[in-house]
Amino acid sequence: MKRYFTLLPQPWIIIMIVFTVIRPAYADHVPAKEDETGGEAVVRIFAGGESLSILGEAKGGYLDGDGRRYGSLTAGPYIRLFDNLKAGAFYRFQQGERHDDDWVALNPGWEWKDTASRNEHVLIGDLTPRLLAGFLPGKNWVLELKSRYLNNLTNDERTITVRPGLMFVLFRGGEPFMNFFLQYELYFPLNYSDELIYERWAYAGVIFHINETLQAGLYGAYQTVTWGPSDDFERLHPGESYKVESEYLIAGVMVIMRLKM
Amino acid sequence: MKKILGSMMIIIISIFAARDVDPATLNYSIGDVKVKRGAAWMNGAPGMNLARGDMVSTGGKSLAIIAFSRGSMVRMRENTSLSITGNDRPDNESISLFLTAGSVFSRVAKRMNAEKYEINTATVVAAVRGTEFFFAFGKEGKSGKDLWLCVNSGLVQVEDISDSAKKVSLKKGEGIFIRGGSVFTAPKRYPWTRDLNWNMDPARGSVVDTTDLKSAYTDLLNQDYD
Repeated sequence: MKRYFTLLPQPWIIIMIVFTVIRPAYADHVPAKEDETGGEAVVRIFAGGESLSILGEAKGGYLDGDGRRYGSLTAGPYIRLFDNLKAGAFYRFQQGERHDDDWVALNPGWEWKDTASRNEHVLIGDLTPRLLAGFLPGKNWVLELKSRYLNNLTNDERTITVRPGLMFVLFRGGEPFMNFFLQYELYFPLNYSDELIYERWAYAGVIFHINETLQAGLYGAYQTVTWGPSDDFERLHPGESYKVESEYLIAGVMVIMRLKM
Repeated sequence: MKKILGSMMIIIISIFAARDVDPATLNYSIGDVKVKRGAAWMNGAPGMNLARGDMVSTGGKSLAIIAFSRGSMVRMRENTSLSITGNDRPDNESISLFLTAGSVFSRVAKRMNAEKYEINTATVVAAVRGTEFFFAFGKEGKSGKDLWLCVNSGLVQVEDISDSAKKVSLKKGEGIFIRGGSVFTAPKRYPWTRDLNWNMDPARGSVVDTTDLKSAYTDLLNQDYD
């Protein structure tokens, strides 16, 4: 050890000591970038007719990094305003969601709060225009732009999401047989986060039409979230900030039931 | 003299009989086409004359085109049964048909004065004066068979036989779905009608239409997956 230190120039010794002392302290109060995988399962029921249908949805998910679990129940009507335009209004009950302010100080140390049993209530307004993309080769291409306004009544966070999507429906014997879809969803925070786009989701999937009533599907989703400073962080480290982009790769399975009323 | 008068009577009667219904001919056929006249069934063949009371029936993967004297035509798709019911007015050449199964394309030459072209089912009558339209049975429901109708040109009036106040007019490009044969939905443009083959002339190309009506029930714009 003595021989090692006498070989190094003295200024370098000082720099090494400084980084050894400072870096761990700084990293502690900034969340680490996450790169996790997980799984989701969704069951949806659409009950209705030509111009009005009621959606009921149950979703559950798991991320393997820190064993985070989340789930939600959503319900509400879709109304067909025009052939190419639907509007919806939904209530969602959710648990396990993570927000910027869930990065909390333990004194000492920091961690993401476990929100698995925290109840949140969200109101959602939906507007979905669709059109048949006849300009694409083949037939049965559907272009969609699902746009939503989410008002989280629990923490007052308000978000607009915009999700363009393209779907191809394969027919067999005159009836839909399989759907292939691609979607890209953007979350625009209205009253939280300094980011223009807080969260992004890219989806790709396939849906099998088992019969008129039952469909089942598989999808992959790639999510990125940009975590910003939490309340605790800003209170304990005024003047500092952070921006941590985490990535999540999720495999999902869905079941859709359609009931005619 | 008596012979001359007798001949004139026969001629007069024949003229009235001929004008009782627009004379029809089985113009073209593919596959299994049969004609029922009275109680007897016979094979239908191109060139065969058809008269009021005749029923024409097509089997699977079969087709028949019936031509009327003034240029109106009706093309029967597979598994279709159509009767020529005619009318009781010898002073005009109206065409009256009764569809009991399957689907038909109609191309109707302009009618004169009070002449009509109409296709009836047990519940609905579609009447036109000069147009081209498609009329078909759909799925069987609890209250009866669904009906589909779409117009390629001209104007079609569809009326509920049991309630004359229930009627709707369809113009070019519009279609209507009648649930159970009696519940009228609003006329609108259906994307599946773009696939219909309207050609009635074998010399111009295929007269076979392979549009599967099951696809008519899928409104891709109304499917939510979320």
